[in-house]
This record gives sequence, C-alpha cells and structure tokens, in this order.
Amino acid sequence: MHEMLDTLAYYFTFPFVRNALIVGVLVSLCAALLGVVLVLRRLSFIGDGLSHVAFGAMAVATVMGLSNNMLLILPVTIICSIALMQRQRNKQVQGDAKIAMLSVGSLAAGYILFNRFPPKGGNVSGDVCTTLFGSTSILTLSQNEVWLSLILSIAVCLIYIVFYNIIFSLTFDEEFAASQGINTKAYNVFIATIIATVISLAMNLVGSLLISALLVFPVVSAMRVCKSFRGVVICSAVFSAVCAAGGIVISILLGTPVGATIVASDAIGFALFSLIGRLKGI
Amino acid sequence: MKKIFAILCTLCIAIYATAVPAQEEKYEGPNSMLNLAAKDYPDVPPFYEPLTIQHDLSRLSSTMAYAQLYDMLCNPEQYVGSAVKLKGPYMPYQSEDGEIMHFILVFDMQGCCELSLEMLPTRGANIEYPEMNTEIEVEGLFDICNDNGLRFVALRINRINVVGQN
Repeated sequence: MHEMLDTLAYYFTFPFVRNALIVGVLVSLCAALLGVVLVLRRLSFIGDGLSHVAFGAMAVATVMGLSNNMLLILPVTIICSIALMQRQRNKQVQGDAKIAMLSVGSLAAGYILFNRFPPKGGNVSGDVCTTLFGSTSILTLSQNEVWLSLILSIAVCLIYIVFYNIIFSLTFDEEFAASQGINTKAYNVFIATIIATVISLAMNLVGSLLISALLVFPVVSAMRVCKSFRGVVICSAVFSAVCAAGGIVISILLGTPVGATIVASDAIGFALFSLIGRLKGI
Repeated sequence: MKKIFAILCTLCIAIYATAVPAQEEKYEGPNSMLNLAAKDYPDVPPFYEPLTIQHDLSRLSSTMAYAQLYDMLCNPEQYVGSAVKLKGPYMPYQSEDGEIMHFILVFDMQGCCELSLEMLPTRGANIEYPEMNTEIEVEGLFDICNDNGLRFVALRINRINVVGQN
C-alpha cells in the first residue's frame, strides 16, 4: 500500500498526469450534467450516435491534414446533434432509426477513410483503436487541447447553472414550457450544441465507443439513491467525477486502458448505488 | 437534409482553406543539441557513467511509459540533455538509401500502439546490436538532431544491455 502511494506520488509529478486528471474530471462532470437531460428525455442513444459522427469527422480532418481536428469535429457534430434532436412527427425515418443510420454510417465511413488515406508514418489500427477506446488519449493531450477542454468544460458547467430552470422545464414538459413563453426550439438547439461539444471533448477521455457510459451510468446510479431532479444532477456529477479520477489513477498504476477503466469504475459504482438504493428501499 | 449537406460542404471547404498547415520548412538548428559544435549529427562525444537518470521509463507502467515517451517526442525541447532509461524490444530499420537505423520500441498496454525512439551511438562507441525484437535496456542522453534540414530526436548511448531473448 505504501509502495503504491509512493508510486502514485511519483506519477503526479508528471505534468501530463495532472492535466489528464483535471481535464478528465471536468469533462466527465459536464457529461453527467447533460446525461441527466438525455436519459430523462429517453435520448440516451444519441450520445453513441454523435460520438460515431465525431469519429467520422475526425477521419475526414485527418485525411485533410488539418492542424487541429476539433476545427471540423465540433461543427459537424453540432450540426448532426441539432438535426437528431429535432422532433419530427410523421416522418418516414423516425428518431431512433435516424440515430442508428448516422451512427454506423459515420463509423464505417471513418474507418474506410483511415484505411484508404492513412496518416503519414501512422499506425492505422493503433490510431483507430485509440480513438474508439480512448486507451491513452487523455494522457497525450497537447497544451492547446488541455486549454480548449478546460475552457469548454467550464463554459458548459456555467451555462448549465445559469439555465438550470429552463433545462428542468424542457426536460420534463416541453409543451408546458412553450406555453409559458419559453422559446423551446431555440433552447433545444442550444442544448444540442452543448451536448455535441461535450461529446467531442469526451472522445479524448473514453473514446468513441464508450462515451454512452459517461452519459448514462452516473445518471442511473444517482436515480437509485436520489428522488429529486436537483439531487440527481448533483449526485451524478459527483459520481462521474469520482469515477473518472479513480479510473485514471487505477489505469496509470496498473497499466490498463484509461477509457475502459473509467467505464468499469462507473459500472462498479452503479452496482454499489443499486445496492444502497435497495437497502434504502427506493 | 440538402441544407445540412450544403452547410457541411461549405464548412469543409472553409476549414480546408484556413486550417491546413503549410509545407514543413527546413530545420535550421544545430546538428546536435548535445554538441553545438558538431559538424555532423553522429559527432557527439561519449558521456561519463554511471548516469544520474532523470526519466526512468523502465520502472513505469505501460500506460505511463507510453504517455511519457509521447510527451518527449512532442515536446523534445523540454528533455534535451536529460538522462533517460528505457526498456523494450530492439527494432532495426533500413532506410531507402540502405542506412540501418536502430530503434527501441515502447508499446501501450493493449500492444496495438507503439512508439519508437532512435538510438545513436556516441563517438567511438562500438555497439553490438542484437537480433530484432530482443528485449534491451538502454541509458542515454536525449538529443535533437539535424540531418540535412530534417529534424529528429534520438537517444545517445554508449552501449546496449540485452535483458531478454526475442
């Protein structure tokens, strides 16, 4: 135990470890906050769909040789998020089918692009594996990426706090919110933009395939022990931050993939909270 | 749908026009950061041993070793002159003009991603290179070199220690 603590103290002297912890905690916190909205609106799968769109956009950005992939990933993901969040009644292709089509189509297109136009001197399967599963992405962030992630995460948290009441209304009863004079269309576009931003950031933490875990696990775990909306929001944010920090620490100590370790921590946390909920009789 | 497609296309063109970096310029730095007077990049004198190791990647977990080497390759200016210790498989590579280069590999925990660091002998070092994929341990000084305008990083070594079979 003492040796492990000494090793951990040594690892914390590395700047990229400190950056990974700060960015990881903030991004997972934002993901949990937005996960509450998505889970309660029965849109949990949208996170998965958007992360695959982000992967496809990243493949295009790599082929184009962009200096910063986020320049393409962010706008493309935001546009797709807005398109998917639009409620379209009586359309031939319904919401869940739309998400599924966009999700697998983007993933396939991205992988084909990587194979046909591999980056110079790169390892295609390694790059794809890292992007999909987030094995070391959070530990290999450039200084610009760290600052961008910090600024966007703090902005998302502040926006959530400022617009908390409107988000609450839109989550539970959109028609009632519209009747109260809230511009629901504009706010839905706004929320879709924030969701896309958080998903683009979260790709660095857990990879494209595991992003849903960051959105869903904290919320459903919090719902096992909390009864109110505010309680669920706070509990899921704390749960997500603790599991992300714990997952990063365990992965650097044991040499396991970072993304998968964070998701495993979330799963164990969910099991614990489910047990607590049962004991409490909720 | 058509509107979204048109917006995406416009966006891609706009981003391509503004965000694609220009062609890489020729590196004008010294042939070796460890020997600023070097006439050629191999011209670096041997260092005194034993070294006081500042970055020991051999004692880190695979996740950390990979991340540390990645940081060294992306931000080499911060590590020039540092004493580094590495452990991993040895990999030779023959370039297009027939020159054989010598690398040590560091894998991530899944084994699908690898990073390599070129090893360059110091002046007069008579190094016997093992077979490919032999597990080796090296200690050396981190360097940034210039090969006719091409910038690259390398580890200057006096010797190679073989610690396992391939």
